[in-house]
Amino acid sequence: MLDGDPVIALSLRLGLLSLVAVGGLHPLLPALHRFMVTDNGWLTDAGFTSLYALAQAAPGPNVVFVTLLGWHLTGIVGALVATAAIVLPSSLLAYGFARVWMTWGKLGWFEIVQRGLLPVSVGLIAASGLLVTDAAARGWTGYLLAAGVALIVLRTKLHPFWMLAAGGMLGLLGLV
Amino acid sequence: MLDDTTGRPPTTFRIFLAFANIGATGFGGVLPIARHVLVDRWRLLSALDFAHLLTLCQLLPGPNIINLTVLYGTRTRGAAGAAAGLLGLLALPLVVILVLAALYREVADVPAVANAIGGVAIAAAGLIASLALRMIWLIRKSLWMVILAAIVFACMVLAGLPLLLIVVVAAPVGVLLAWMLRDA
Repeated sequence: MLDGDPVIALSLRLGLLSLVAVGGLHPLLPALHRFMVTDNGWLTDAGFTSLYALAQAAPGPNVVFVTLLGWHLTGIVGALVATAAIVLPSSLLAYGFARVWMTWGKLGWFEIVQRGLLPVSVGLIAASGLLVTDAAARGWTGYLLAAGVALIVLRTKLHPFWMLAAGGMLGLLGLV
Repeated sequence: MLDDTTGRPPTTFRIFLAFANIGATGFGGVLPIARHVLVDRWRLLSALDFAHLLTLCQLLPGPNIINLTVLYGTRTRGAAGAAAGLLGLLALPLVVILVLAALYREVADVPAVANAIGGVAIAAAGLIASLALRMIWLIRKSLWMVILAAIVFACMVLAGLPLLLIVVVAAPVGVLLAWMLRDA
């Protein structure tokens, strides 16, 4: 009975992804897009990016994007189940790790493993940036805006929130 | 990891409040806010302890701020501390995002709203790209690391391979590379 339930399917996928999310939530975006949009057709490209934009414009951790995916499927219950599905598996791992770490003391290979995971995170996050731009942009001005935001954030100390606000204004004016 | 103001580990309620503070004020990247609240304002952690925790939570899979919360909560007050931190971090943002979502559903079809939210999405994509660029800077000295990042990118975007497969294969390769380059 539960096999056909989209929230259960999403949650099982999230639980799995939670454990391979090297470098946070951003590396998961392409896989989430594939699952929600391409494979199951539960969201359109625009629907996916709209929920992502909404999550970024709200306070709190990035995982609220996953909350919105669950909400889109079945409302409040879906929202809570999906959030638990992304938070709990990796949290249990972190909890176990903290327990072991407290008794073992320092471990020398932290830095090496962390450095080794960097290229994987970089490749996946770059893929996420391209994917969200592709899905949200309606023309070359969209790509220009994404590139401009990336450069401005790298070169200045402006708070990211202003970038989102500027993007919203340009969108409202029909420029991107 | 003692509370600087009392010299003892913070109570679970104080952990809850500190992380509620972080969740409620963190816009576009919660980690800098977490540092500000935990180290500067509430003095629950030294700058060095925070840096250690940050390294560890980037090492573990899953959202970084969630890992930071669990590690900090566990080290101070065990499972109860971790649960209190997570509840504090997530409770208000969940309510806010669900209210926003409900409002958004009412107006999603208005063209002006759709255009504006599309613009926000593109700007958010630019933020993701800046994150990737910043991280490339960290691996720029090793051509092999850059090549591995490019291969991971191509596997995801061009080949459309499953994320699980990519991570399971690429992560050990990356760690091996880092081990071989450890003295460089």
